[in-house]
Amino acid sequence: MQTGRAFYDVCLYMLRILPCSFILIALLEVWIKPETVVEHLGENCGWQGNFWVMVLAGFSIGGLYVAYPMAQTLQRKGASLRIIFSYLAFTGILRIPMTLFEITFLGLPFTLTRLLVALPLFLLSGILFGTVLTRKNYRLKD
Amino acid sequence: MDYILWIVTACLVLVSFWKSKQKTREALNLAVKKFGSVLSLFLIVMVIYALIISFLPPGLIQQNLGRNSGLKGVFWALGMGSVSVMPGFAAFPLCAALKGLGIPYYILAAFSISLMNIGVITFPVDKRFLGFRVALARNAAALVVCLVVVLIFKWIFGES
Repeated sequence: MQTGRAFYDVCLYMLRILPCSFILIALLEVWIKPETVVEHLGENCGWQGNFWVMVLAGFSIGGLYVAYPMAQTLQRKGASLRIIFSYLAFTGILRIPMTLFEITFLGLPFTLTRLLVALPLFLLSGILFGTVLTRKNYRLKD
Repeated sequence: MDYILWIVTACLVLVSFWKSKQKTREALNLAVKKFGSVLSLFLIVMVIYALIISFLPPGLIQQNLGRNSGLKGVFWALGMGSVSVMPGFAAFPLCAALKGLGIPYYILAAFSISLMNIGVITFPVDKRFLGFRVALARNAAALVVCLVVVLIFKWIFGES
C-alpha cells in the first residue's frame, strides 16, 4: 500500500518536471546543431576547445552509441586526442537533460558538488590520456 | 524549484517562437515524441522499483546501503552503478526514492556517477571504438574519479 502511494507520488512529481525537460531538450536540438559546435573543435582550437567540448558534451543525448560516432567525427575534423577523451568523459557528467533531472530529484547542492569535483578530474584524465596516447600515435577505430 | 523550470521553459519557447514558428513547432513535436518514447520505460522502472521495495526486506537495503554500511555500501553502490544500464531519467527518481528510505548522499553519488561513467555491460562498445587496453584504462580512470567523488561527498554531506 505504501509502495503504491510512493509510486503514485513519484509519477506525479515526474509529470510536473518531465514536460519541461523534454521541451528544453528538443529546443536545444532544433536550435543548436552539433555540426556548428564541432567546427570549433578542429586543429589548433586552443583553450577555447575546452569550453566547446563541454558545450558539445552537454548537448549530447543518448549514451555511448551517440558519443563514439561523434568522437570519430571529431577525430576526422582534426581534434586532438585530449579533446576527444575529454569529450567522452564529459558526456558522462555534463549532459544537460540528465543534469536537469538530477537537480530536480537530488537538489542543486548534490549536482554542484558532483560537477565541481568530477569536472576538473576528468579534464585532468583527458590531458593524461591525450598526452600518453598522442605519443603512441593512437587513433580511434573506424 | 518546479515553477522556475516552467518559467524558464516558457520564456525559451516564446523566444524560439518569435525567432521561428517553424522551428518551434518542430521542437515541440520532437519533445512530444521523446516524451512518449521514454514514458513507458520510466513506468516500467518505477514498477520494478515498487516491486523490489515490497518484496525485499527493508532491513536488507539498510544493512547493505544504509548509514552504517561503511565501505561495503560504497562498493555495493559502485558495483551496481557499474553493471547497470539505465538512463538518467530512470536512475534519479530511483535515487530520490532511496533517499526517502534514508540512504545517505555519498551512496547515491557512488551509484549515479558510476552508472554514468563506468560500463561493464557496455564494455564491448568501448572496446569496439577504443581497443581493449584503452577501453580498460578509460573505465579504470572513471573508477578513480568515482572514488574521489564519493570521498568528497562523504566529507561534505556526512552521513545525511
